[in-house]
Amino acid sequence: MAVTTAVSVAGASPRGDLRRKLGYGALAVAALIALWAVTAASMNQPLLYPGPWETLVGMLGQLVTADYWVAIGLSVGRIVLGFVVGSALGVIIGILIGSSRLVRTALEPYIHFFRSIIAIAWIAPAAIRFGVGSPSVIFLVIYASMFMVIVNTVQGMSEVEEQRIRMAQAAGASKLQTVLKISIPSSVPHILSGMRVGMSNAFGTAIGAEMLVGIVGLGYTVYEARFLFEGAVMFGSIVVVGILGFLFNYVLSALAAVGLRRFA
Amino acid sequence: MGQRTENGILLDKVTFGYPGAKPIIDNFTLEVQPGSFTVIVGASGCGKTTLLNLIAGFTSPVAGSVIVGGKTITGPGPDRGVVFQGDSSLLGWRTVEDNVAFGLEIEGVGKAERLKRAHRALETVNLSADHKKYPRELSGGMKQRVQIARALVSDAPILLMDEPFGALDAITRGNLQAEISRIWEQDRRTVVFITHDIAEAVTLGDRVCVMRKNPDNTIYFRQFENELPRPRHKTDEKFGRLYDQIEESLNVDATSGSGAAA
Repeated sequence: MAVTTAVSVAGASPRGDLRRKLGYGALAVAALIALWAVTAASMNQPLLYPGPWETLVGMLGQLVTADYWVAIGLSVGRIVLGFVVGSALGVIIGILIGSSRLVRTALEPYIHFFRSIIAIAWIAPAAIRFGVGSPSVIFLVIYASMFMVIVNTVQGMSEVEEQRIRMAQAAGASKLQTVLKISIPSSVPHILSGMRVGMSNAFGTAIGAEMLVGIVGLGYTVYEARFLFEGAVMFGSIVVVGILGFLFNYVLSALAAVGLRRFA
Repeated sequence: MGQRTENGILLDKVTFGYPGAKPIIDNFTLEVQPGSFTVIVGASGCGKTTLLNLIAGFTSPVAGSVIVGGKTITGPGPDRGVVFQGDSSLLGWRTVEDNVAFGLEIEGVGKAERLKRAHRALETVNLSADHKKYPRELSGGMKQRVQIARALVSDAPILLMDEPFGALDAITRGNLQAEISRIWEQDRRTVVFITHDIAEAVTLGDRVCVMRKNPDNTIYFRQFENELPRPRHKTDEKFGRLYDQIEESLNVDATSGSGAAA
C-alpha cells in the first residue's frame, strides 16, 4: 500500500514540473516575440529589422528551397565533425595530462596559452594551410571545442576520490589499470560538462568562420542576406542557428545528466 | 579453515609525519598476533587512521618498518583487504557483484569464476539478492556489506577496517558488528579494526588498544585483553567493567599522571 502511494506521488510530481516548465518556456518565447514585434514596428525598417511575421513568411520561402537545407546541412556537418574530433582529442590529451606528471609539466603551459586565444583568430593561417573551404572551418571548430574538454578532463582526473585510488592499489592494480578502471570512469561527469561548453564554442566558431571564409553555410547565409537586404532571411537564419544550438545543448545536457547519475 | 600463521603484523619502531611538522607517530611499536581481532579505539585525530594507513601501505614510515607476514611491506597489496569509512570507494558505474569482483578482475581471474566467488562473498554478508543493483540503490548498511564482501573475496589473510560502521545508525551498526564477528570466527583472518566507539571495541576486539595524544603530543597507548565469550552482550557485567576501564583510560585527565607520558 505504502509503496504504491509513494510511486504514484513520485510519478505525478515530475510530470507536473514538466508541464509548469513548458508553460513558463512558452510564456518566455511569447514575450520575446512580442518584444521583437514592438521594436520592429517602432523602427520601421522592414528590410534590415523585419518583425516576426515578415521573418516567418520570408523563412517559409527559404525552407522550401534545397539550397537552404544544403546550407544547414553543411554547417551542422562541420560543427558535428569538428566537435567530435575536437572532443576525442580533448579527452585523449586530458587523460594523458591527468595521468602523467611529465606530460602535465610539458603540455600544461601550452594548453593555457592556446586556449585563451579565440579560435577565429587563426582564420588566416587556417585558410592558407587548409584552403578556403570546409577543412579550414572544421579545423577552427576542432580548436574551439578541444580546449574546454582538455581542461575539464584534467580537472576530473585530479578530483578522483582518494579512497577509490587506494582501493584499487590495495587490490594490486597497476598504474595503468588504476587510470583505466578508476580515474577515467570517475571523470566522465567532468568530461561531459566540458563537452557542453565545447559544443557552444564549436557553434559560435563555425558560424563566425563561415562568415569570414565565405563558404556556403548558415553563417554565410546570415552574412550575405545583410548585403542583399534580405532581412527576413538574415533574422530567420539567426533563429535557425539558435534553435539548433538549443537542441544540441539539450542532447548534451541530457547525456551529462545520465553521466552524472551513472558515474558519480 | 584452520588458523593461518603467515599473517601477523609488526610495526617496528615506526615514525611517521610530514616534513616540517612534529611526527604524528614517533618510534612506535605494535605487534598484532596472526588470526587475532585487534581493535584500536581513540578520539578523532589521535593517529589511529595513520596507523592503519601505514599497515595498508598507503603511506610509508619515515623511520622504522612495517612487517606483514614476516616481510617488510613497500606499498599496498592484495594480501591486505581494506574496508573504508563511508562509501566513496564504491564504483557507481559497476553493479554490486562487479564492485565485489574488482580485485579478482585485477588478478586476472576469469569472468565466470570471479562472479561465482563474488556471489559467495555476497552470501557471507547476506546480500545475495542485490548482486545486480548499483551502489546508489543501496542503503548505507548495505554499501558497507558490499565493501566487506569486496575485502573478503580475494581471500586476503588480513582485513583492515577504518571506522567502517561510523556513518551508520545504531541498529544497522549492531547487525553488522554481529556479522563481522561471525565472519571472523569462521575463518580467523587477522583483523585490525579502527573505531571511536567504546562499545563497538568491546563487542568486537580480543585485544582493545586505547590510543590518544598526551598533552605533550606523545602517544598514549594501552592494550586490554578481552576474553569475553562471543556473542557479547552489553548487559553483561564484565562487558560493563571493561567498558569503564577503557573509557577511563581514554580520558586525558584521569591518566596523564601514569601511562606513557614522558
